[in-house]
Amino acid sequence: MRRWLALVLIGIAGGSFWLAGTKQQPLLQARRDFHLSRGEPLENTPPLVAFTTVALGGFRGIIADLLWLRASQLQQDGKYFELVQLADWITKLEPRMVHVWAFHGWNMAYNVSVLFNEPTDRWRWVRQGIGLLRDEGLKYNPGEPRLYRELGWIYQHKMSGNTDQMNVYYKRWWADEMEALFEGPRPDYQRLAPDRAERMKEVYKLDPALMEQVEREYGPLDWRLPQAHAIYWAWRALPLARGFDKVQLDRMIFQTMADAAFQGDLFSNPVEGVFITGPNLALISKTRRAYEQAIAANPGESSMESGHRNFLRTAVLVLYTHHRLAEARDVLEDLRRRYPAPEYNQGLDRYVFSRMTEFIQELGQREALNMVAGTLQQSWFWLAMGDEEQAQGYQQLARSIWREYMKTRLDPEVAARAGLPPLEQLNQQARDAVEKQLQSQAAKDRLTKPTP
Amino acid sequence: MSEPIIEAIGLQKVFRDFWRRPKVKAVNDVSFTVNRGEVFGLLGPNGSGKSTTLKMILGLLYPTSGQLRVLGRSPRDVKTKARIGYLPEESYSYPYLTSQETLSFYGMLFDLPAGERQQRTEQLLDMIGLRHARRRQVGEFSKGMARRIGLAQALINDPDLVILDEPTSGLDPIGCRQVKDLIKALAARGKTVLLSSHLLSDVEDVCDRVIILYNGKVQALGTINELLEQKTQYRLTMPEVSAEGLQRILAAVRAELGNEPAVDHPRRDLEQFFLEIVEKARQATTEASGVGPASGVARYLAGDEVLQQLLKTPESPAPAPLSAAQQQAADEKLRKLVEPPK
Amino acid sequence: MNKVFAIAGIAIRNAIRSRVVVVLLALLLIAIVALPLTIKGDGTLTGAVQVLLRYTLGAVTMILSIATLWAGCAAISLEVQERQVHLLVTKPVFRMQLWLGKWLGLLILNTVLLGLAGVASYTLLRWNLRQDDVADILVARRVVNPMPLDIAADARQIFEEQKRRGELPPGPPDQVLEAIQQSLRQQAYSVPSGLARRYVFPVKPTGVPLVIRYKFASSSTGKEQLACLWIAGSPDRADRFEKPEYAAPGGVHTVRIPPAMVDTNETLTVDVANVHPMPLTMVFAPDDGVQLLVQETSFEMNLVRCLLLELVKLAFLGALAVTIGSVFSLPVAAVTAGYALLLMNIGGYLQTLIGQKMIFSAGAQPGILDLLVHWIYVILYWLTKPFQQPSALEPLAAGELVSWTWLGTIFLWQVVVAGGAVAAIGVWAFNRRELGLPE
Ligand SMILES: Nc1ncnc2c1ncn2[C@@H]1O[C@H](COP(=O)(O)OP(=O)(O)OP(=O)(O)O)[C@@H](O)[C@H]1O
Ligand SMILES: [Mg+2]
Repeated sequence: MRRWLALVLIGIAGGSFWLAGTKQQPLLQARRDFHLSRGEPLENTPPLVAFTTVALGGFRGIIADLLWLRASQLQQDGKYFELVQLADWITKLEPRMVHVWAFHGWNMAYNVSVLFNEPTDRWRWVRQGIGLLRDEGLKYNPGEPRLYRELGWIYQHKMSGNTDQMNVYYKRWWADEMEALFEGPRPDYQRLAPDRAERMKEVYKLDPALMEQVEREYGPLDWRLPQAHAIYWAWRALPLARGFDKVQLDRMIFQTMADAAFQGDLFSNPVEGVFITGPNLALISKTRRAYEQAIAANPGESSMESGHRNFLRTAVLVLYTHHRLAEARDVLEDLRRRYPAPEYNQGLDRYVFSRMTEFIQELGQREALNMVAGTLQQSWFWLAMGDEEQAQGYQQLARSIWREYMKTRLDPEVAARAGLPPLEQLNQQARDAVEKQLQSQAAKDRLTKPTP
Repeated sequence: MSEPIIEAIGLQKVFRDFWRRPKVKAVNDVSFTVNRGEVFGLLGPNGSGKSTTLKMILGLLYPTSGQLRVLGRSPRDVKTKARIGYLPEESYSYPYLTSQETLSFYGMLFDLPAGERQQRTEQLLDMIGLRHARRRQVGEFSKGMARRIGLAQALINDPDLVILDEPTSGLDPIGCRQVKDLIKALAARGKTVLLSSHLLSDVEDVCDRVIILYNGKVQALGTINELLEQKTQYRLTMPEVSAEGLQRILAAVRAELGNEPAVDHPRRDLEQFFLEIVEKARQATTEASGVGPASGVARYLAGDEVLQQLLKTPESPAPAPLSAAQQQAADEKLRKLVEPPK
Repeated sequence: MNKVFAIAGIAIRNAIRSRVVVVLLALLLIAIVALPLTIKGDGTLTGAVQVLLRYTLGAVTMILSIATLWAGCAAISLEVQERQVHLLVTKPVFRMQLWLGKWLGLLILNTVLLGLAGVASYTLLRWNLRQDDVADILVARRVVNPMPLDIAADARQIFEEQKRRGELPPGPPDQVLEAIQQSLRQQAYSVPSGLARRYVFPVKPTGVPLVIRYKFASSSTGKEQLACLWIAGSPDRADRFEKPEYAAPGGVHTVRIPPAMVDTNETLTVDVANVHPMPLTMVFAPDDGVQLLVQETSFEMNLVRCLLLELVKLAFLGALAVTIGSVFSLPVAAVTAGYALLLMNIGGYLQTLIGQKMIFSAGAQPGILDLLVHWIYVILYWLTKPFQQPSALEPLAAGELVSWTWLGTIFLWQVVVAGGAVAAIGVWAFNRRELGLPE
């Protein structure tokens, strides 16, 4: 009986050896593929991590797997409390596996955050994702461009973009935090208090010297907005990246630049609770240059070119409405040269006008009314904020829209049915609406000025 | 007297290896009977199967073939164990328990009531001379001390059948002597003792009957006298006599036998000599780190008062004085022997 | 019985004097004190408490499990190896008593250690939370499922209706009926926009606040939040409780409901209306889509029951280890027991492996070997399934009730049935063992 048992066991052992042998080659290949065979010790490793990675040897992969299964199970069940800890362990068990870091950072910032109803909860998870990549992942893998890119992506897409319904909250809270850190849109590089510099470096991993370089190259950037941070992290990885990574980083930089050019100037007035982003016109020329360089470096990337064209088309309108006529003309010229199309062959005024009217003519009565009223409110709002130039611009715009819309409805009968109220009446309503929302007397006083 | 306590018929034990192949025939067709009140010795050189036989009797090993009954039951019957005491070849006690706890623990296994248990523990500790070490952990004990604990635990239940595997191994001569006295005392109370040993003098001193094993087979079986008495020779011992007296005696012997008898002074044996020395030394010192003064046999083991009295001073080397009747009988015999030829 | 206690007694004494207990206590203390310092919660107080409870108590039970396994394996096998058992089985001690004694010793030690660890972690937790409001965190709520839908009757009615009209799809009648039930169930759990769905919970009026916990998927692939309205209270009441929610699909959300909404007939009616402007459907999970949480006992009582439950598991582990140790020598026993413990604990992993057929490379035709390995895993899974009890630590940490019923069931199963079987096997094998043989 025992003899048979022993024979069977020996048979099983032999079979297992053979089985192990057949799997040996594929496994070795997989090791090579996933960069698991790197022998050099990790830098910056705390003793505990160094110990576990060495002591557990090959078993750490299994443990990491089990933890990972648990993490996804918990996530499915809606139990998120352990996720941070589990991600911490998993990544530390495999500190060299870049895609493990990337996955967990992305998972927390993207997948977990959206499971919550409250913006504070979501923001917490976005920050967990940022923290994992920035504070841990990059510490262990300072030379991995992929991790910089993942980090930049959270700033560029999750926070700066608008796919997440709560993105406004993220922007605000991040801006509040950065405002407190820099006391302004950017640190005062020349007179930076040592403790502030320390805090920037230690907590946010922002190196003032590097920030200044980024600023020189792409600035002026408003560091209270996530765009500047996306650019910062992408820029830091540029010297490390080659090939596809490099293209991705370039793309991240000019896309974010484009975003910053149109939305990169923050106007915030905490007393009025105002948080508005507007165009950062100084960036337009630098963005153009960034695009041009990237296109030159990657010929035949059609997606880059279409991105470039869209950027230029918007830039013309924005520059025009901000009265930067020379620059607008230059951009239009650029468009005509690079992406020839009949619409660019008309003069600047006509081009802008045609794009606007095309749009306005097609509006319904309600929409047109909303648009005029809204633009007028913008005008009064900026007046209250003390920006007369902006106020005038909007007043101008509202007038143009009104006129353009009414142009085809001149017949009194049609005007009575589908026309807009007189502009003065609309102006009065807009003024009252803005005044009601204001808190401070100073702002209210500014509204007593005559119509801009 | 002839109630059989252990009956073994054709006992055999074969040790097998991992593949169930017979490896050693440790006990081979052994048959014997041990009766109540007997002191029965298993004799044999190392590896002759003594311990194996004892372990089969204890149910620690299962016989390969043959019949074995202990106290009228199978050796694996748990209930009969209440009447058995066992001293293993080596000490297998719990190193972290003190000697007192050890004895008390084994007492509990016999369901002894607490008072009884404590009393017996105390008496046993006195008997083995380890009263002063009763709060020390057994793990620190010397070999002999541990053996003594082993002996004590074998007796905690006042067993009817005492099985001792090499009871004197590791013990000093005093201990040996004590063990032998103990065995005699037990036998005197009608207990049955089964022991194994290769120290022949021990066996000779205490055993009624012995079995001699060699290579697992029975070589000889019988009472000590049957086995050892040389029926063709006599030995004469007498007190100091005058030279003429001796001459006369020798002349008479010479005349009777026709040749010269051997004459010398009797020597004390070493055991007795050692016992005297130690006794003297003990009286001179007060503190002991090893085995303290042992006190004969535990009261509860000794049974009635008279027997107790008889065994009171086992360490005294002097033989017990003979009674008047015995003296007379001895004189008579001697007189007959030395009587000159007519 | 005295003999059993005597044997347990010396087992405990041995453990204490050989400093095993001290070392264990030190390990437990380190786990209880040091773990909270190194563990990361999710940034909320609730999360911190949950992780703390889960991990410290988890570490405690893990340490005790491993120690129990080791000590249990050693209990008899070491005595056999050191031959102390020769002096036990030559006394009037049944081997069952010996087995029981060893097991009882382990159990007593475990009880004391687990108790101390429980008190220590609780004290530490309270001390850490001394400045926080924990009324909503340290809770023990019973999870109440809604009354089951009466689909069978409706399905039968539809079936008859279709039959009458001769529109019954082809196929065996019971399968058709089953298909109708299936689609009804499907409909019942999905709420298209503009519609509502009613849940009725059996609940006694208690006066404590009630909490609805819900979770749904959206028919949209996007992650946008859906607007829904929760209405509680019987439909004929004028003061029904209403709470609009803007909820993210996939997440777990809660709505507090005033206790007054419980009806006199000991039910709580809850309607959920999908009021999202876009035509999107909310799909609630059939098993845990909508549940009611009712505060039932104090957190402390829950903790006690949870520890008792862990103790029950340790009792089973102890039985298993003692049995293994009474059959094998220590190294073999320890490896066997460790393997058994591993199998019991990776049940979930095995389930995923076989459920998702992860052994097979995607797309490829599975080879003989793959199938073989797959079936080995299947067998292992089914062998260990009965011993895979969900940990009581999870509900404790999540503030859910660890009920006496659950504790009782686990006790009955793990100690009485499984433990008894293991004990019987152990005693049987031990009885057949020739202890005079060397290992
Ligand atoms: N468990 C065992 N496995 C194999 N052989 C054994 C085993 N136990 C004993 N033997 C063998 O059986 C024979 C008898 O051994 P046993 O221990 O009975 O001798 P003994 O007479 O007690 O010797 P000693 O005087 O040395 O104590 C020896 O040859 C021994 O090697
Ligand atoms: Mg021997």
